[in-house]
Amino acid sequence: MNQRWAEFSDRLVNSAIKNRIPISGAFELTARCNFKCKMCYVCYPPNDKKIMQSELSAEEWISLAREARDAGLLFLTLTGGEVFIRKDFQKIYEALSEMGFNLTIYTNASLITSEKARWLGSIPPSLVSVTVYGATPETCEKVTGCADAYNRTLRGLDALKSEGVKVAIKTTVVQANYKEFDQLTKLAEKFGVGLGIVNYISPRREGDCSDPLGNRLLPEVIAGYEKQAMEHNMKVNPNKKRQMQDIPEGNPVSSDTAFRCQAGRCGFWISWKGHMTPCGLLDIPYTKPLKSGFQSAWAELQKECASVPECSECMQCSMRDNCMTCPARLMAETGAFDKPASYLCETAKNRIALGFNQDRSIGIT
Amino acid sequence: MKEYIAPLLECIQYKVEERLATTCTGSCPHTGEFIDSEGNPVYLISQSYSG
Repeated sequence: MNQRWAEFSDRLVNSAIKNRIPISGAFELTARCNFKCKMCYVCYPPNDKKIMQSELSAEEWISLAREARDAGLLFLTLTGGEVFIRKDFQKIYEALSEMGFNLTIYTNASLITSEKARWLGSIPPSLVSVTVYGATPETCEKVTGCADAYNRTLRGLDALKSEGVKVAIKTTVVQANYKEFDQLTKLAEKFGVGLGIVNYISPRREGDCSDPLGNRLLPEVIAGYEKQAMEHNMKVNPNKKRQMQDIPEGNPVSSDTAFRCQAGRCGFWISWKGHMTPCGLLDIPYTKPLKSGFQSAWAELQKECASVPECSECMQCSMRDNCMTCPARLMAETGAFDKPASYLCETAKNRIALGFNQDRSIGIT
Repeated sequence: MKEYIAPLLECIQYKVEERLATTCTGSCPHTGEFIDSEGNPVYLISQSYSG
């Protein structure tokens, strides 16, 4: 990616923020998953009838998408749960593809057969982002509770690649898999892509078959893991450090809400039960686009976001540049938007102790 | 208008929807996907991890 694109993309986002256009969104098509990951924030069994009945229908998603498109939605992520668990996923996807969105699918790929990959290859999304939960079958089973998770995910990845579908590989770092960094980077290398690392595990948003807090890394361990990733990049690409410093930090558009990101400014999330929230970590504030219409729900969400208080302690903190603090994480961690979260504070402290403030050769969000 | 065509193609090529995504992935200025596109083999994503 070149600097020209960075400028263009900033301009696009800034324009959307300025004009409050919902350019970017996520549809959480289901809360059900065939995996039972220990750290998941929304986790219900595949055949949970109560949840199935509460999920939006294909027609409702398609109708929402149409309204969202008319309101300016361009970049749409489809996520879950596991989206391929829905029997009507193909119907939904094809309709959204037809509408012309730039689509990304988040999946564990375990349900992607050769046939499904062929279908997807015929009308490919911009990206299929696949989460791999460990570098060995044993580790994957420990994390996901599914004996065949590793092999099935790799089969899915192979099928997608063979159909020419663009894939990304990411992992969610937890206690059971954090020692497999090297093997996972090699796995991503094999598929010709980088390895994305989800380094923040939030407390559970809903569901009852996971224990995120019991499985996430301690602050000192996560900071050490990030350092390892940083050193890996430095080793492979020693010149990147300087280039990274050329990337402007911080959003050039100042925020008039507590959210410094796109949440509620040009981005939204619609949960499996049809609630529009600023982002996936939050269940409040929310509005109801199915009831009031997308545009009204979006307008109402912005008003709600404007009343979200800022954490003054975080804003004044000297560790802020090395901290993951944001209203969503603070709410998830403490139950309040404006209360500092010890997990985030400790992680920032450990990052600083490891010299992160001097060396930003890896992105810290 | 022409000046935007090439970057727009790059938009598709570099899956910037990740950068622009709703959650922290795209919304945060330090987003990992952005860095990925810079060629780093490992990048951080402080985001939703479902799927």
